[in-house]
Amino acid sequence: MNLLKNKAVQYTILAFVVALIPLLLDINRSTLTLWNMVIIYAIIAIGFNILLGYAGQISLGHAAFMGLGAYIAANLTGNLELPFLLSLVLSGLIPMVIGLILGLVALRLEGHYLAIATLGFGVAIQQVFKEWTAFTNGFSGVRADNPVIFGLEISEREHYFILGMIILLLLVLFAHYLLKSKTGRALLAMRDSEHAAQAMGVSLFKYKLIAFAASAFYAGIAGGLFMHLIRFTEPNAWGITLSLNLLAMVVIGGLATIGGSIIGAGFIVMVPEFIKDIEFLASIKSFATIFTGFAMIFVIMFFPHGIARIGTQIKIALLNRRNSRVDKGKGGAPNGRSKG
Amino acid sequence: MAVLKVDNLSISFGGLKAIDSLSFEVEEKAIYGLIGPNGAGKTTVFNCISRFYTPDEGDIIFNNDIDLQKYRVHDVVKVGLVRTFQNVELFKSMTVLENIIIGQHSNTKGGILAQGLYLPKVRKEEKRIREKALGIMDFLGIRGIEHYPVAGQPYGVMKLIEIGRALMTDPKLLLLDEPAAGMNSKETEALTDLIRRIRDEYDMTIVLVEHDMSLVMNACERICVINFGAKIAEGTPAEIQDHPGVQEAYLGEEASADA
Repeated sequence: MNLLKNKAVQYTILAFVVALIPLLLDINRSTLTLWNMVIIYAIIAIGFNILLGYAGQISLGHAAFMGLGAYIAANLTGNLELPFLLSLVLSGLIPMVIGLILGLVALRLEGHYLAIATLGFGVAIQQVFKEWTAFTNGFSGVRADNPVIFGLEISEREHYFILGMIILLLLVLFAHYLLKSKTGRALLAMRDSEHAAQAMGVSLFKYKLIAFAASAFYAGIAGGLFMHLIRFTEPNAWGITLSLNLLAMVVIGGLATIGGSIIGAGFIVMVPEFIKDIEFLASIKSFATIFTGFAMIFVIMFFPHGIARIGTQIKIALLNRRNSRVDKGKGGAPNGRSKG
Repeated sequence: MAVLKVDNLSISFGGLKAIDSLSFEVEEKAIYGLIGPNGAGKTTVFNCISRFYTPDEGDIIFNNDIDLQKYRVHDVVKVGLVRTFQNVELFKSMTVLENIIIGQHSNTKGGILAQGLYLPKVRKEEKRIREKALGIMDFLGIRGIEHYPVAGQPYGVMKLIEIGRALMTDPKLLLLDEPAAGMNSKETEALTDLIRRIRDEYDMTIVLVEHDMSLVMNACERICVINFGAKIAEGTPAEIQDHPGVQEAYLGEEASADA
């Protein structure tokens, strides 16, 4: 029973149960494509949450890393004919190195300035995608094949969903353990108070770079998975819209939570689909975007810890109310504990 | 033996000399007070020692042969020097226990991959630092709140958590920046006891900057008084209380006119 309380075990069980749903139920291909997209966005959102939620560093250019991952995956499996899994790892590792460079920039900039600089980075990389035709084939785009793992070709969406779920699970577990140990504490400490973090021995240099590198790695992996799912990409997919959607996922889902990143990804991918089915809303142009914007404002105002923490937030609010009553009953002395 | 030797320290901000050729020495296992009127430069001295500021001139020698200026701000904790902050600087989104555990950051083993894979050695480290932190919480008398968020704690408890976090770094020298600020007289009394107990049980040297005279006079064995960044007196609490220059610095011209 105790094992079930372990978060890693919960994640694993949940992943396996959800991964099997498409095999048991008859779900059409386009819905399954969406489900796969949720997984892919969940991966990039977890990485982005390490950066924004834990390290407190903003980036408005992370679409570039995902795009980079996609193009690398296409080139490595297409032109170089590398095996899928090796190519997928590289489509994470190469953006990670570029993420380190962006991290170096972040060491010099804060807040608004960092947001502007990363926005510029995103725009610049997108431009590279448009111009560097040898790598990206420009606006004509590149194609990729179905992934082949140990001679097995994955062409069905159900199977791709299982593959994606396994990769998501591995990345979730890695992030979960990393964030609950030394690195996670150092990142949160850096976000809460840079001075105190430094005084405790946390190197801002090291941990800002780690945050950027990790988020770029997750983004690259997401890009690689996207490439083999959709099997086509062109430069317009990797612009500011995706970077802003990513921000919305993490804020709506919940900053500094892994579960929140996944919920946020689900929210941003699925909501436009639900809206499409409601006729009078679908007739309003770009209603999904408008809705996302309002959802973000609403969440920031009323649930600043995101959807994932609504339950906890209510519990804490109730607890505080009860405690303040108890304190009044005792007749004050809130510092009573301080006497050693 | 001097644990800390500040020699001829000077620093200016925009032409204003915040510290002016300040020298003092702190003996091992001493409780040393650094006092002075508002704006005298006390916290600036702390900021120089803990490497948040780089002085224009002078040397800060720790433990006889460690030139602190060769260390970066996040490295001083590794040689055994740690500080607290004037306005409690805790990590607000973390629990009390996590706040204290951070103190062992530099001594916690395990690389990024080992942590992500949660290898047995990382597990063992987590257990070790957790038990160490709980021991410190026992010592400070704040056991029982370890899993509460630090943000909701009363001010006096936050101050203790910050001291706990500092103790967690296994320091040889502890710099306390106004530990009694915002405390009532009863809490200050308890703090005086605590400071002595920390020195005795953890076997360390303590330097404190403080406005609260009862704490300084009761806890410190030696006191250095600075005004406008320069030393005006040094001695035992009794000597400092009788020093005419100190009274003038604190009470200003009015006192000298009365005298």
